[in-house]
Amino acid sequence: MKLNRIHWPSLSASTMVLGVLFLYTPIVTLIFYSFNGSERVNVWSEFSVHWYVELFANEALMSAVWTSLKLAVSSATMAVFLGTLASVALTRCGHFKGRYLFMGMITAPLVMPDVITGLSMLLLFVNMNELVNWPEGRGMLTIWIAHVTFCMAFVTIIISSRLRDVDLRLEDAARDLGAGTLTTFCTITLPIIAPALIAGWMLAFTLSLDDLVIASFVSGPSATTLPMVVFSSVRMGVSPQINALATLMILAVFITSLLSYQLVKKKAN
Amino acid sequence: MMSEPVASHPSFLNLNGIVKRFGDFTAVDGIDLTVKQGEIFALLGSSGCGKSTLLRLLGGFDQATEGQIHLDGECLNGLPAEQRPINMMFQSYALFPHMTVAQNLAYGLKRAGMKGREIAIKVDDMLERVQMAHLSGRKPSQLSGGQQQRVALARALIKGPKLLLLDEPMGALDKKLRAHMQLEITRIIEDLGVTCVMVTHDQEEAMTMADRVAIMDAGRIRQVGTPQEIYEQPNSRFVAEFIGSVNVLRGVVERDRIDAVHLHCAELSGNIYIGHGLTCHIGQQLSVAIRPEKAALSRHRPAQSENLSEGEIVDIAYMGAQSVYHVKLSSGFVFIVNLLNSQRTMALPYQWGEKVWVYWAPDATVVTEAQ
Repeated sequence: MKLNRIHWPSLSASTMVLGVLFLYTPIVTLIFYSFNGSERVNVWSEFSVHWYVELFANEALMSAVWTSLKLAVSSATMAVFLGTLASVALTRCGHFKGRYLFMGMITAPLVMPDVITGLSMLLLFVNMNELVNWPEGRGMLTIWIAHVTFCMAFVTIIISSRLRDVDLRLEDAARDLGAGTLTTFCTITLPIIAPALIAGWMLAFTLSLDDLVIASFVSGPSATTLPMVVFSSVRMGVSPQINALATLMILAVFITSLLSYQLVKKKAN
Repeated sequence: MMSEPVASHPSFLNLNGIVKRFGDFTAVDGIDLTVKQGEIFALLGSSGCGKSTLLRLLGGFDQATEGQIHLDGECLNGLPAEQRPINMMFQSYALFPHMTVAQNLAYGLKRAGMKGREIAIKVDDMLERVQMAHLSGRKPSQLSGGQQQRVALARALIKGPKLLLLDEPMGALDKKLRAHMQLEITRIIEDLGVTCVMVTHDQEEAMTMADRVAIMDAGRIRQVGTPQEIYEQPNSRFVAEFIGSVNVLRGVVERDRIDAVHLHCAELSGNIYIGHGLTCHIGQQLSVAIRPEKAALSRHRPAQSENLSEGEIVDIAYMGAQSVYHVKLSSGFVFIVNLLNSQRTMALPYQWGEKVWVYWAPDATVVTEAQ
């Protein structure tokens, strides 16, 4: 008994410390070196915000950030819209013919290697360009379409599982009180599944922001996303600007999650 | 049967040959039913008997495969739920979790195109009626079970429906609150004079709340009547056994007079005497039901030659207000007798293993179905 009391907490505490170290050492290192005055990434010289200034002056990088953000917001929004429609079809339209096929096809991109998705998308766009002249060339639009396609799979999983949990009696009650199908969906179902919509949107946003492989296949000379810029610049040696950029992104993520946590807490009270 | 305040609508709600099939399965199998205006009508049955399906057909959530539903002279066939002048209090209430109590109540009025001021007045009035005005700003998750039920009832009543449906109204409440809310809900419904059809598997609930009860089994109605009629004059062995507990004996008609019938009963090792006439013939098999509280026990042989048997007490269940005695007759049949514990201590209480006589009056028997 005594043995247990002494050993288990210290073991679990040390496991936790190890785990946290494992997860966060790279990130802390990255933040640390973003304030490094030295040109060389792994040699500390002095504290400086030099690389932040450089970062904002780097037009190529800033435009890639802007492109990536626009893509992430627009593809996440579209993915949530389409994912919601697909989820409604899967959970509220009974056992229509081909339901299982539809379900399988929607979730297939989850397990598809990015290289395959990217390549097949590229071939599709090339062929479509030749046959119907749309989409013309490759750029933002083609990346957007590709991102919506693979993000929608994730979003559909999240939203449909939430939709399945919604008590159908709530929708019956709304109809009973005089609401048509669309009104019921907008006033009852949507607000109840809103957390899933937000979670799905955020996941899609991250997936799109993060994607390098698919974007590389389907982008054109006019559109370069942030991961593409970072990846290509790393091949010529890591610039501390990237550290600065990453630090800013971590800060943004931190603030966003803090805000959403506060929002959830406020709503719960 | 019962005298109702509004006699001009002998059948306010009319169900005619209602059938509902799901694929090969027939959930509701030819139901004819009339409900009077202002009446509280209960559909009582075990799970899977089709009572909930029938309620959904009334509410308009499903459409009947065959048959017609008329409400106040209007045919409801084909009308979806949102267009029927019917509201429902759902099982476990189905309150909208993202809305406050007041918003829950306002929801139906908004759909009817009412404006803010009018809605506020109606909502306040209804909340007052169910004594929930002080909690109008709460979310459903912040309410107790009884409070949620009041809100659900208020939400179902606020549009002034012609028909109120209750789906297992007390299912989510604990026993003590149940008895209180049964009376409370009945009072509110009767105050408003709204016609009500409820579904329940709880016979006590049906008998407390309803003016009339329909016993359902396998998609059909077995008997319709007041709670007293159902209990005292069950028309079949099924109904007799479904409502309360009952001793069912079998007998063969020996003598058939105008005002009495004598049956020979093997389980009793004696005769059953029924104090009223029956349409039967000599040699016919009949089932006879005796409610446990209508029989009595005695240590000495009672002064009657029929409706009695000797046995041994094999089990006693003390239940506070009454005790239940299981008496094993010499034929092996276990006869159940309920005795009221009207005194705090009985002078000589019956003991396990004691030899006793079971007996009952000639009018205590109900002949259920001839077999």
